[in-house]
Amino acid sequence: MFLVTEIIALSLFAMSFDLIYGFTGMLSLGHATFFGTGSYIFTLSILHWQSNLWVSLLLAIIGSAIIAWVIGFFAVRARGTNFIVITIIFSLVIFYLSFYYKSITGGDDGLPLKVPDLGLGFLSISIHDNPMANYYLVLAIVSLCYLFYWRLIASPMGRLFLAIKSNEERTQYIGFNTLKYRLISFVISGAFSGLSGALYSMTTHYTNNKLLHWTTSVDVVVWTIVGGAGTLIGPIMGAWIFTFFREFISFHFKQYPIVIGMVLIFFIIFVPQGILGYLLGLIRRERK
Amino acid sequence: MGIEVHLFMNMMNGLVWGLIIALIALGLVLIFGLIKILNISHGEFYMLGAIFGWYLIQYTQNFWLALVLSPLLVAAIGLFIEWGILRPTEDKPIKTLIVTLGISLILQYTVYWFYGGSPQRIVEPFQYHLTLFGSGYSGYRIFVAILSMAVIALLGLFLQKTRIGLWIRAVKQDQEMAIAVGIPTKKVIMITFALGSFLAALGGILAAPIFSVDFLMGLEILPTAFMVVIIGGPGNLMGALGASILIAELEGISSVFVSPTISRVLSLVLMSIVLLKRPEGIFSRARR
Amino acid sequence: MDSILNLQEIHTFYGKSHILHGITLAVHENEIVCLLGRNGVGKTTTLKSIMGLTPANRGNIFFQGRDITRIQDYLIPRLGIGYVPQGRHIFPDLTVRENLKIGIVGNKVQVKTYEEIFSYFPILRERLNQLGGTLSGGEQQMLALARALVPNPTLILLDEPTEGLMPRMAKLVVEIIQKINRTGVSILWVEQKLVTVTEVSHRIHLISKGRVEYQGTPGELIQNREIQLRYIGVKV
Ligand SMILES: Nc1ncnc2c1ncn2[C@@H]1O[C@H](COP(=O)(O)OP(=O)(O)OP(=O)(O)O)[C@@H](O)[C@H]1O
Ligand SMILES: [Mg+2]
Repeated sequence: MFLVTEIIALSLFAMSFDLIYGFTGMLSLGHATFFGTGSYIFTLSILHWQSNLWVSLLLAIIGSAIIAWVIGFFAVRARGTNFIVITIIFSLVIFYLSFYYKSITGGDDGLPLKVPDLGLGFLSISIHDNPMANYYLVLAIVSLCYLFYWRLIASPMGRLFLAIKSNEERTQYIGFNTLKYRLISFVISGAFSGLSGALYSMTTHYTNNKLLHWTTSVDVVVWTIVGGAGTLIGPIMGAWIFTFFREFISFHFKQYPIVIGMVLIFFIIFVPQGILGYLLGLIRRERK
Repeated sequence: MGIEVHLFMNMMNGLVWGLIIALIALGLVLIFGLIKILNISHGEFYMLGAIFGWYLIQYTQNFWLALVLSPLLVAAIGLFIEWGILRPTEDKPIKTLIVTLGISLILQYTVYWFYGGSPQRIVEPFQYHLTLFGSGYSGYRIFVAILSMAVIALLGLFLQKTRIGLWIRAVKQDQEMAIAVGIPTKKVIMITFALGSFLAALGGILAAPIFSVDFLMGLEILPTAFMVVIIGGPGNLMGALGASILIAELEGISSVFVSPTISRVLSLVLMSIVLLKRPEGIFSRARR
Repeated sequence: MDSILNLQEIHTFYGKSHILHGITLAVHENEIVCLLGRNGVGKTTTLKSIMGLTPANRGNIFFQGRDITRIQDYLIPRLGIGYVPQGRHIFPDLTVRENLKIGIVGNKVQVKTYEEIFSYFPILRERLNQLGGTLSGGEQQMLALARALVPNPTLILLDEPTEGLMPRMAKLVVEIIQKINRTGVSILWVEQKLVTVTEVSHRIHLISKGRVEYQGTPGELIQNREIQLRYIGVKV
């Protein structure tokens, strides 16, 4: 149950990454920063301020959005490889900061968390000791977010994101401030990645700086590329496949990232559209 | 110890560290200039240099042999990786970048498999200490500084005076025209990749006795190396050299007064300013 | 036959777009052959296909009787084909000296000395240590020609060598090309303007939409107003 809930929370992370990579065409290799920030803000606000569950979730969204705005402010000014480099640099430096401020972040030992009860006005439900309630809550929030993304990509702004991906210069000529829209996409993605981190910690009752780490950034890239970028569902599939894979293999073969590296290279060279993209392509060809 | 001695020591350390960074960054910039590919796995060549060095020293008890052999081994690996894995995607920079991400995972965890997760030490090959400002300073570090400077000077001579050096510069400026005058461009790229790997590995084994050797050291160096590329200007070799020393000295000197974390953040701030004000790097000539 | 370059039914694609639809032409020894056509008809692509830069997908290219269609790209110039591309493509951060030296590859080639080069292009003598990017357009064109000439080619491919030059400079370039041709170097010359080449070329091919539509001597072409109008427009 925990694992399933965990993966649902991670699905939101996957979708959020897909928004900037699959739709706006920006490859961020530092997305763990937002995931981790969300998780930490959620945990720390509960730990230090005993804040309400809703408030903590909201704070996680706002906090990650602010961080995403600051990093994005610099990053979107750079294009292509430089954009990627900046996301890497910021995220690695923030990760090292989390080590130095161990007293606050708990470093790699992390911080345990007692999730407060869910207040719904007239009744309050325990989330901490009730996996089913936890599951439904996470599922409901992530489903709402999926609907939001679904509407977003169908909206004029979503089409603008796609236009930026396929040809930013032309989009600029038509008269759009592409910097602004790239930043918007980045901040939305960062904010929901933060929410995803918060939901993840809510489920695991725990946070540590591993969530900020490079490997977390790499994970979401792998899910998205293998699942199929630009499809929203593909990256979610990727998250399920790889999280299960890791859960089962990491006992027997600690060096499993070797396999992930190979799978990543295989897909990029031979199936660049990812599993779902490949299947959709097949169906389209069948129809013709 | 007085503050001026402390300051002096940190400046010396900054210089030594800056020169090691320069070895790594020069390789990165050399490759980037040629094929516009940002090599995420470049840090792993630095790591491999130290790891092979450690093994060679275990078996031969001879640091000097390891100093020569380890970078050569790594250069051979780099050659193979460029030829066997990168070449099919080389016309698509973002794809290649993701491939190098996969390579990075594979190299890291293959080393983890054989070498294990705990850091090891290599002792300095000679214990000579100089007396500077009434305080001892490691003769080995002076040696590292001198050797690095010599290697960097040799690299400059190689690029300026030899036929292959001329070819490397020509391919960097106009790859299609280079082919049309008869330059075997693919081989030049392969050699450059091997040369870049060699330099990173040399940095790795030189740094090994100063720090410690573990499988994640390549990841730790990555943000610094990337900052150097941005501050020095992409593809700009002299800029990379200047930026390496600038960053290392900035962090070295400032860490006398503030915590190492804050000094790391300072270089991040410097990079961000450069990015906004001089996207071509601070050492670029204003041309074209 | 004494033809040194022979293209037979060359088809070339950029990705999916079909650019050359079966180009056939020949350059004989000591000849200046011109390939004339409007914007975007595939003149540059023809030269790039010969050089292996955009390899032909179908058809064959023979150089001195040898099939070079599938030869590795960088070996083609080494056979004795010089290439002067559109826009000159001087290496901007190499000195003039290095730009000249760069064409010397392989071991067997007998190369021209600097003195021989300066006899064609006296201006380069003073510029030897300057960076290629700092030269004027005319000087860059000279350098591009000189660079192609250094390895003693038997054939030179020229892509609009007078484009963007002042009339006086253009005239000088044409004279130099003729002088090179008289030493026994064959020339395939891509051009948009008929006037530039009527005096100097031996034969002219007209190309349109990736196909050679007409060929003849300059004299014949000047007589034929209809063909001129159809394939090169009104400017004569
Ligand atoms: N890299 C490319 N990718 C796709 N299409 C191209 C490319 N280069 C050229 N083309 C197309 O191929 C066609 C032929 O181009 P080419 O450069 O050979 O023309 P050209 O005859 O040399 O024209 P010009 O007189 O302008 O130099 C043009 O329609 C052009 O749009
Ligand atoms: Mg052309």
